[in-house]
Amino acid sequence: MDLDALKIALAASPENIPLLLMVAKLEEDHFHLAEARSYLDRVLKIQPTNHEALLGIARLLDFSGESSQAIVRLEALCAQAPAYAPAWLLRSRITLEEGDARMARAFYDKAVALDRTLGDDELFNEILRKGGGIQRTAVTADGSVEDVSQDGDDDIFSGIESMKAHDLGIDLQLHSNKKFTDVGGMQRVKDDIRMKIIHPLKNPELFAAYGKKAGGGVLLYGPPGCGKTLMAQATAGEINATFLSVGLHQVLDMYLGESEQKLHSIFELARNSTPAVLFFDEIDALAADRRDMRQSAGRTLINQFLAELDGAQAENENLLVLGATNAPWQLDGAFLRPGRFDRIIFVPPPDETARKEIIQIHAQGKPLADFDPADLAKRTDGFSGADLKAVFDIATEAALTEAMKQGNLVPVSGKMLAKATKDVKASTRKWFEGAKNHALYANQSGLYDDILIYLGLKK
Amino acid sequence: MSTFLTRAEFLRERGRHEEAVALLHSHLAQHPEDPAAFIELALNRMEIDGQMAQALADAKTATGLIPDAAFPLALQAFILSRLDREKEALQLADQAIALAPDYAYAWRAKSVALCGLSRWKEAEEAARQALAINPDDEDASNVLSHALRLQNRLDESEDETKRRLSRNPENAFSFANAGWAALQRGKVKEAEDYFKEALRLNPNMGYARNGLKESYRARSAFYRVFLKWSFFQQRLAEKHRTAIFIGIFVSFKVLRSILENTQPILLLPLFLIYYVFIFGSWLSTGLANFFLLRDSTARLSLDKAEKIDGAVVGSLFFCGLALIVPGFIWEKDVLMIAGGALMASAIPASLVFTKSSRSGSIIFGSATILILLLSGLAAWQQYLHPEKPIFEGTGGGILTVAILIAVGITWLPLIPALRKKRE
Repeated sequence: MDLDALKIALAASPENIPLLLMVAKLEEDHFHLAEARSYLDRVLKIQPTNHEALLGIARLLDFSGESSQAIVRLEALCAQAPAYAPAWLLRSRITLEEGDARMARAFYDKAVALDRTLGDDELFNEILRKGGGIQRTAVTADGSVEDVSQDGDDDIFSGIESMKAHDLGIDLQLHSNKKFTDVGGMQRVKDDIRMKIIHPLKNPELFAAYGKKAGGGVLLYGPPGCGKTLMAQATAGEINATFLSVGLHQVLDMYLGESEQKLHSIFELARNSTPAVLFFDEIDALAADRRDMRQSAGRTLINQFLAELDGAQAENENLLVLGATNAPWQLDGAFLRPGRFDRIIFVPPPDETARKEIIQIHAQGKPLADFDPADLAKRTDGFSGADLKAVFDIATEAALTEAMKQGNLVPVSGKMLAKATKDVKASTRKWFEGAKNHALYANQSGLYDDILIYLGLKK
Repeated sequence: MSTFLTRAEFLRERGRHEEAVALLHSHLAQHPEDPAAFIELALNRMEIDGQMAQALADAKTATGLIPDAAFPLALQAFILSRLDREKEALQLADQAIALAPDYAYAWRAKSVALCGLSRWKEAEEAARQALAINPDDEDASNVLSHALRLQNRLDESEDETKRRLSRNPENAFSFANAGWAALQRGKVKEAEDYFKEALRLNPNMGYARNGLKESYRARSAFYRVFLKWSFFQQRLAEKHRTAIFIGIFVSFKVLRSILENTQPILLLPLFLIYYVFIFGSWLSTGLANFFLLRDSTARLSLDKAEKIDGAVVGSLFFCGLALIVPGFIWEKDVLMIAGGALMASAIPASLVFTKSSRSGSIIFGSATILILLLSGLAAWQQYLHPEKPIFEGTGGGILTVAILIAVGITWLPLIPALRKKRE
């Protein structure tokens, strides 16, 4: 990006924090450390608690060789914003430079537990090489650092679980911070989940009287980008359970490594953390139809998965296994039998209410003019959350281009957003084209009736 | 093998082609000249809508990196066949066979290319060669069954399908082949059941979905006649089909001039047969789609374009018929012109939605509107001057132009650029 052009825009809008941060970063990239610092100081003048600016200053101090100053500032930042993962990561990096691999490991684990995308293999290997592999220190869920060699402490136990999760390469949230109120609209899906998951877990005796038991497996399916993962997190939040999430890449790793043992360890970790929700994203990759498997390794892993679901080796009481998939038809039939993923919930694209709420979330922090979220929600029927983000990205780019031309801040207008809705095609349509065929021709047990109802092909 | 490549292969096996392509790009950033990655890219892109040309480019790159390997050449041949470029496909399949004469995949690529060229006998031989090398090559067996069916050797085709199904009773393509063979024999219900079974196993198989639609349409005896004609045409090469089309037209002209001078009474049946044939061959699919729209189950098999096609063609044809009949009975020229115009415009309209390229759709759509407008003007002139014979005066001139457009348009589908392309 052109630094001069950004400075022109900044002259027109001197208190624009995102712009100030952008210019500071570019100055830093050019090793103009003093200039970068001056822009960050300007941010702090406007907003004294801005995390990015505080982090940037710590980074600049580290660059200038003042690492102890940087650490002090990072300590303050981590205390002030314990959920801000980049601060923990930088703290880990600088602590390692200072020679304390054990602490660096603890900070690294905390950062990755907060935000998995921050995982940095190079840094992690360096920590291990310098002795950070001995897991005796942990950062607990509330952000404080504990020595795990002290037995019998719940918080310390949480730290161990967090480390195990890290070693297994999965995401672990001791208490999911999402609730149904964080998910806009989708009332029908929420009601479905309440009836099929939450009420049986909260009222096990009542359901037992009707021959139903709590726990077990639930499959969420629907087009991509429509909130299946968020819904799973919110479900865990609603029942105040630990949330363990296994993504596609961890599944792929299983096919390359010690797969069965790793899968068993994940289930063991979840069983030790009950009540827990063990969430498998893109479950079709792990529970694929065995007829399509060329390698026998894949079949063994699937057999192991079935055994874990059945609780053959250990009890699965109070453990809810949630799976999400865009392609339920690729699942091995054995997974859909009673006792396994026997409750199936269709998560459709967001309805108008949900779209309006998603739109309002995307609108936060952007300069807007003539913005009518209700009108935009009406124009975006069939759009997924990801499509709505694309609408905002396109409109923002248009506003930025205009701002560059005019040399002053141009707000994102309702017109720009409306135009962007025409440029973005609803990605869910393609999914429904394929899903319709499955619902029409391979729906012997009525598994996909919800798709037919959504498409208006069945009442 | 890098983990990216292994993961990409895993993802392809699970039908997650877009994600596999992303991983392959990461792999190629580190190993820019890895032919295996380009082959994987091609295999994935073949399955992604609109990326067939890129798949071909990837397979070509792989060939450039390992010119002595038969697989990338055969892969290119498969892709070219799917792009309707069968002549090039055949050349590459032959090159692959020259490099590896005992490679079943290359023989199968040749067989598929020959099928695309309607050279059924040679396609059968190439498929048999592939099966001689690898008797378990299910795809070669299916191609053989297909080639046999299109030579009208239905018993042999069915035997091959049964043989395949006895080895793998869950082969969707074999069920679809059995469906087409049953349809060719006129066993409509049996065909419908086979296609449904194929779709249960693979709901996205276009070959089976088209078969199911045809079996639904073939519930009408009228459509079955034209389906037989269509199966007959399918067995012929493109040039032979065109020759037959021209032959029928010339024969009609010759017969008409002979009968005009010798047996004028036979002219009416000749016209009737010829125009039923013309209307039938153009409108049979659109009319069958129109009837399917009334069937709550069968209409679900139609896509949006086919539904519009059915509604437009059916409405034009039957509204036209509804005007022509009373016009003929009460000798009302205006009604006959209006009805004739609607029926004639159904011919170009039948080509607009499902059978043409973008430019073809524009041309045939414009022709439909033009015929309707001109005939409307002619009908108006006739209304103002009812005493004049139909083909006289301004109205007669306009009507003649409309008829010429309707007749001329029937020759345009012979231009390949106006026809719908695959992919």
